[in-house]
Amino acid sequence: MILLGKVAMYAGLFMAVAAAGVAFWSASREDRRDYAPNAYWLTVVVFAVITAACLVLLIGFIAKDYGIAYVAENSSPDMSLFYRIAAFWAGQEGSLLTWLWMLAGMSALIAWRNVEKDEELVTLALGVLNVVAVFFLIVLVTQAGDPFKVSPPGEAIGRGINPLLLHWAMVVHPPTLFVGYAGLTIPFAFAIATLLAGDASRRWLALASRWSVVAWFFLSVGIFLGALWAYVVLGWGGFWGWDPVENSSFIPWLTATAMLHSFTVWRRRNAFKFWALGLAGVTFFLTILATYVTRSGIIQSAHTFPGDAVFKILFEVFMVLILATTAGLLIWRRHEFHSPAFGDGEDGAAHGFFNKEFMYYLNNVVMSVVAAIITYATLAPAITRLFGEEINYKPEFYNALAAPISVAYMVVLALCPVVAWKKNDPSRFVRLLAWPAAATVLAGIPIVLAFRSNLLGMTGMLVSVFVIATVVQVYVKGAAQKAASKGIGFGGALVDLFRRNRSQTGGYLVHIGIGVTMIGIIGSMMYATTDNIAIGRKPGSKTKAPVSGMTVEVVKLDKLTRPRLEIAPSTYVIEQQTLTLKLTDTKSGRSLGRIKPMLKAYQNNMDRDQGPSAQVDIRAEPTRDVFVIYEGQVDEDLLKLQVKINPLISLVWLGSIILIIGTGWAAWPPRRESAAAA
Amino acid sequence: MNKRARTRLIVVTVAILALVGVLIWRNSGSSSVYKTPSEILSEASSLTGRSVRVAGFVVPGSIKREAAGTSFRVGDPDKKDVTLAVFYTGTVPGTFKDEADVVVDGELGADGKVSSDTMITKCPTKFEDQAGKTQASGSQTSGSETTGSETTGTAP
Repeated sequence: MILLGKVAMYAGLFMAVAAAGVAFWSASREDRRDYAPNAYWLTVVVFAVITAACLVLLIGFIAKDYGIAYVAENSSPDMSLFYRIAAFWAGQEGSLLTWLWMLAGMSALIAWRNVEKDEELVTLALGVLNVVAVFFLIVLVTQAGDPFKVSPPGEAIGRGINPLLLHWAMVVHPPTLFVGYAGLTIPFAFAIATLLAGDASRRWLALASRWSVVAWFFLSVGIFLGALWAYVVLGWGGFWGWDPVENSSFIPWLTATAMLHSFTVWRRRNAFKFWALGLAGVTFFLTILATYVTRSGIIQSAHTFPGDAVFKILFEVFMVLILATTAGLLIWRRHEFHSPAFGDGEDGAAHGFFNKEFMYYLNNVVMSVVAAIITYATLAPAITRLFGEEINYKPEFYNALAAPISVAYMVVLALCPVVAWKKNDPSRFVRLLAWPAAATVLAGIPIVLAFRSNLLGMTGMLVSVFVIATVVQVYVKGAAQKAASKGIGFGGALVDLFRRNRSQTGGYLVHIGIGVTMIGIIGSMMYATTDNIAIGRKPGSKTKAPVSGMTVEVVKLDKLTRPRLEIAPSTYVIEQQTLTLKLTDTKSGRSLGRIKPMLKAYQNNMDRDQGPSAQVDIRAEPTRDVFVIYEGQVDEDLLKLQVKINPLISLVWLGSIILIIGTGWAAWPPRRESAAAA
Repeated sequence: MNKRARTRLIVVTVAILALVGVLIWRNSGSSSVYKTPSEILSEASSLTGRSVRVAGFVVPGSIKREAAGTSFRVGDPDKKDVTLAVFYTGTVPGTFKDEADVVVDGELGADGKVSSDTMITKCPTKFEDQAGKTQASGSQTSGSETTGSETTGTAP
């Protein structure tokens, strides 16, 4: 079996090299174009071969073949089938293989759909995609990356899984991120293709846009799931800690956002070409950097995998290649792609800066700058180590920067819908601000009352409301106009508006999602409170959590010490303490019911144990979460507790879901597929 | 684009970068410098009051849990006898125990003790790829952090 897997990997490598070679060779001269289809078919075969390799590994997991080291390391005999399958992407080698498989699949789909069309851009893009596949295959056949290593003789079988990862979100999170990362290879491939071909038209956008939006969709979902898991399982009260691995997925999301918006400017105004192409290259670079940071061992984090020298060098070389190729091609083709957005109205340029183009420009600048800052701060330990003392930036650093920048950015977001392309008419601008301003003032009253303790936070919330209001205005005005001109009802017009303009209506829905999420982020991060309290052990003991405004009463403390209480595949609870508490709002006397934080000590099937791990309990209310962490017994009669209040955190989840729905709508293909998506 | 537009664009961009630069400058103190336990002991005078990040292992037998926090000693993996006292006030992660690899962020006090509220642990024995991360309760608090009815009990 292992032999089959290894042969498949080498075969895939060989064929991907061939596919890339044929693709570039056939595109280099007119009389060679007839050979291009071979590259397309080779791409499909590469996918088939990699699928075979994946099946070998998958069967290894299903059949519990512990002769494969990777299977032994990531699963155990009593793991359920579901978790055994999910274990495929749990470890380093398997996750890279998963990413490669998705990339190969997308490439194969592009090849299969376009093989009859003889389009140079597609041929060149397939060349690039296969080069990327070659890189992954090289990593996967080296010692560090090889998923088909043989288990050393006598290797203990199955160590079981870290109990913190036993959560549906953690099973779905890696593959969704990989679909996102793999998907972001496609705009890169087409960007390189269009630069190589010297084709400055919109054609590459038609071929790559939808893939890009879909990739962004999955990346957003992946980040959302990670944050959700952190909140519910890790239980420190927050959902984002600016951990290097978290940052690694967020940074490409920022530049991908800028990239998608640059696509819009190119499509609408034939401008921002360097932005669009450059961001496609940078975003792809950042997805590789993300993997490098997570796996090379250069940055310490609770999430990171241990590093390997060969692995590091391969990645470093590849990253340099990506940047050099992108930059080199942009410089080489700078004349063909020069198409300025700004000016004084000459040659189709905009007038001055009071226009939508400038809003998009600000968007690009802010996204790029923030991405650069987070990248630097995340890599600072590795960089500063080379020059002297190693510096680490704490979450406070990131939060202190993120807060004012986000608020300023939300102002741009709010104004964009009401600003016109090319030249904005000042009186129309003011008129369009009227209703959103009124809505903001109205919604602002409760916000100011509740959140005035922090001026920046309050402002941020008000601006976020403004963002939502200007978007709603776009919908309402659009529908009203349609209703009037077509003589149909408002409701019907609104539905029609959504149906015929998926990209725009979906995109605006995403903005509403951002507004809602931002209110939730501000509430939960700037206005959260914590009480560290101790309470007597006996039932009936009461104490106040003064900052939270809660009164806590012990109902009972259950201790379960059973030798092997299996709670999930191969993971046993050896001691479980469940503290049942009654929560009451101190001021109003309203009961919040019972809350049951737990403390669990685990052991896996190899009798290795892990100290007590707190399982928090959350009382979720619409306007806040009450979060209780039981930290253990301090001495004979005292129990240690943390009570946290997270205001408005439900809006983080709600806003994210709105964002995801909006993206899905924008990406959904129209019933009659017109020219383009590859 | 014409010269005027280009100049304006540059000016605006530089202005934005400058503003952001100021923000970074003002907050660069929210960083910690990485030191091993032996470096901390030898550079104690220059490091006192600074924010430090120390990595090492939990000296066996040194963990004492109290009401206000947990005290323990961090050992230097390269210099066997060097240990550093730490007082940790955050939530203790599940993987925290004797011999565990630990990274602690805190301030070095004049008494040579590091007071910390942020800790990352990795278990030396195998539950691979630990996520035993915790966060400071302080980093997300605005209102005053009070401790309710607390007593400093004797450690079990």
